[in-house]
Amino acid sequence: MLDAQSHFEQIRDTLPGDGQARAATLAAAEAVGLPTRRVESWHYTDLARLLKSGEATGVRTVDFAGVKALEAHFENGLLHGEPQAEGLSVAPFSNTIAHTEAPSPDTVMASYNHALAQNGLTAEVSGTLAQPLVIRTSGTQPVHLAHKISLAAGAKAVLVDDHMATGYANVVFDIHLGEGAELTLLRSQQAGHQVGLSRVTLEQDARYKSVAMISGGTLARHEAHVTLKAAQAHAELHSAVLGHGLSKAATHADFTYVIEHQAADTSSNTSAYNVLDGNARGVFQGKIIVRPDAQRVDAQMQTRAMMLSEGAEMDAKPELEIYADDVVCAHGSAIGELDRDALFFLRSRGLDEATARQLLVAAFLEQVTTHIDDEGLSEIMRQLVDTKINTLLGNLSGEVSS
Amino acid sequence: MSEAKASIDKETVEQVAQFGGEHYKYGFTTEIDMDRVENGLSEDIIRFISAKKDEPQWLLDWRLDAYERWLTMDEPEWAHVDYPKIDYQDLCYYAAPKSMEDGPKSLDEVDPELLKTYEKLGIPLIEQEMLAGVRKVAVDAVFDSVSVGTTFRDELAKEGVIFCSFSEAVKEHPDLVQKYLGSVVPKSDNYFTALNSAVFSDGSFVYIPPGVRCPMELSTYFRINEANTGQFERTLVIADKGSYVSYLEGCTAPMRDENQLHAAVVELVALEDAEIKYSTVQNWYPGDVDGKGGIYNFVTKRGDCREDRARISWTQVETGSAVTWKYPSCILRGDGSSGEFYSIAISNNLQQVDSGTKMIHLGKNTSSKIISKGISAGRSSNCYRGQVSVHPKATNARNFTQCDSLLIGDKCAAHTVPYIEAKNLSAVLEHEATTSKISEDQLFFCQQRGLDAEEAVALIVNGFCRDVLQNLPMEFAVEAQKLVGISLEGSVG
Repeated sequence: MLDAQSHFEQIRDTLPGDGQARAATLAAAEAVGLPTRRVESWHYTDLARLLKSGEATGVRTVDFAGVKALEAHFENGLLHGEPQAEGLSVAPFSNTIAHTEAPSPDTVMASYNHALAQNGLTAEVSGTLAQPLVIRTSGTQPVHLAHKISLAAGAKAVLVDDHMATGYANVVFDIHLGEGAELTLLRSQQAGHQVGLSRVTLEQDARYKSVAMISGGTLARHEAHVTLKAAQAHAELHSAVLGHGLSKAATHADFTYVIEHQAADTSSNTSAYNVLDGNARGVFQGKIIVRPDAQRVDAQMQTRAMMLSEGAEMDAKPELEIYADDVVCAHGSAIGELDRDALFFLRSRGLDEATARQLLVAAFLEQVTTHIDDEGLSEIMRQLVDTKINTLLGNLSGEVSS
Repeated sequence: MSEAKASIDKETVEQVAQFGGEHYKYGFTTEIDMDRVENGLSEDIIRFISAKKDEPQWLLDWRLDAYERWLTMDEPEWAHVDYPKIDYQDLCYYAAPKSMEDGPKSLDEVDPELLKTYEKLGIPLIEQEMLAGVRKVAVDAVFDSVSVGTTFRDELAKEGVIFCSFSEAVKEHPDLVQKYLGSVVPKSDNYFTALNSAVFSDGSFVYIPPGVRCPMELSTYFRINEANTGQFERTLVIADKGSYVSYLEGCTAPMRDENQLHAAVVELVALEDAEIKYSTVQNWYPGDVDGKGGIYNFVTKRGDCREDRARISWTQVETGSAVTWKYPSCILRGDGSSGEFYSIAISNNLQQVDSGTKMIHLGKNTSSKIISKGISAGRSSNCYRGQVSVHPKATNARNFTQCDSLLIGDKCAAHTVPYIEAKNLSAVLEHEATTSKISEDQLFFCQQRGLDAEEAVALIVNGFCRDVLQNLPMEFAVEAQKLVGISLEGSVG
């Protein structure tokens, strides 16, 4: 487990910005401590225990190197290469993200990040980026990164967060979309212990789409706070989990979303697909908030989980908090095992059991990858899914550990 | 539309019209000599209550233990409700009509003033009157801290059914009470159960012997009358192997400016192949349009399907109370047992509701169904909070949940907070939730047919609630339908 204080002492001299302020923030965070199950927003993710017991491992199944892309590579917190392109301006990391709130158990991980952030990409997009911008995170050291991405009015970009670091990582994304801006954020975690938070604000007509895939690592906590501030803003959050592994090496994947409709005529669409094998545990907590006077909001949320083994667990908490009356809000959740009828159907067509199962799982996750518009990227994600399913269903299915 | 349906709808509409200015018809008080202890909570008060009821030592010890635990607990704050801090030392924990002191032997000896009160509430305690009705319903009437009478006891006794006040059960059936009391809801389950366990004054006790189908509906009617009093009743229903009982519960209180606390505990135990159907129409005083007064309704209800193939079904119509905090739950312990929860929760003006259910699947082949309809109007807040949990050994568990919210007006709030937990591969859990308002089209359609806005809303809301209303016993369903209309009084136009 990470000892934040000694980690701070170790890297203190290399950190940019006001050391005193960082020390104060860290002290405040340490006073609160890591969230426990008693904290409502962490009810299903006992962070202290997971960080203590889980093995941080990961196998690189695919990488995004084959895609023509701009790249910012953070290895153990150090940035290699600075992406350069028309319409993109990158500023040196300064840790200037406003952080005024006193930490509560709900927000303490953001405070840790603010105290310890050693690097991050500070980028402004003013036009349309011709290539995806890949943020690659690798290494074995504990790392705190704070990325600040802002899109000017009308700007368009595809951002890829390729997480391969095998150690502990606390990653914050602050994203602002100006009027009419469009951003697709593709996230892939194949390794490690990641505690992530993204704070996204959308102005009028802005569109945000996030597609996340957890295919490895023992802890993935992805928290997103999306605020739709003006009319016609639209947010989509789609996530897929391919959880596997036994006991301490099992995946724990937690997606926690707060989608806040502050303005009228905004919309959001959320879906989460979990495939859980071995002792993997999937968690989905989604909260849709519709503020007073935010009329004509359309908000949809779907959670699906497919359980492949006796030792797997799924916890879902899709919440609605509605303060306006002229809205269409719905959530649905379904948890079950692989559909036996579908399996029978495929086998009756001559497929062997293993192939049939693979096909069904792939089709299940296809419902997430289909949201990736970029062909190159979507091909990589499909490849990732196929390779993982192959090894998973080939080796692990049916194994139980309790 | 069937004739019966048409007449019910007509009645709803009439009812809404009839209560033009008067929103809460049960708001009267009864002037009666009361015997009440001083305000405040202490070991002495608990000893006093216990002595007053002539209780055995074990029950007093049980109460004192609960009180000790309560002292170490904190009031829960997780519910989506907001109310000023309750001063537990400023409440009266025991109030009983003076005339009850000598213990009337039968209903004939009960103070006529009391009987009149129940008559006014539409709850006849005189058996003869009841015989004219289509179906018989046995009633246990609880007035503030004591039970004033139970009807049809002899007839029920012929079948071996025990239906009496809790105090009598402690005296006459101590073994049953000791065996089952606190076995479903442990005294330190939560803050309010600990409080209730320490100071509960009365309630109803039901025991259905093996293989008996209870010949009539059983019912308890709770009435808070005294000002500044808390009501802490305890209900214990035991359905032995292969038996069946349908139990109804109703409650009202006078209109008062201050808030009053009602913290009840209901325990249901269903043994092998037994079935319990528990229906509630909760109509405590909700406070006035500005949120002044009203009952704080903090209730713990839980049923235990203790043996195989037991069934428990909760149906509730929640229209009253200023603040409601209530989660009737089922523990599905026996293999093949099933739990159901049907709920209509209506909030208007400044009412706050945080209600739902828990379905805990422990046994194999267990199933549960949740249908919740929340309707918020005025400036109220209505929250569904529910948990469906499938434990590792509960193979083939099934759950279907549907919770719909209807918003009337743009100042109210509706929330849905489900917790869905699957720890078994074979679990099939489905959950659906929607939030919407009454569509302009529907309103227009009704108004075009000559209904005014308020009648149209009552009609549409009744349709929205139909899935739940159908599950109420007939007498209750009619009553509930009227209530739906009245509760939404003044919410449109």
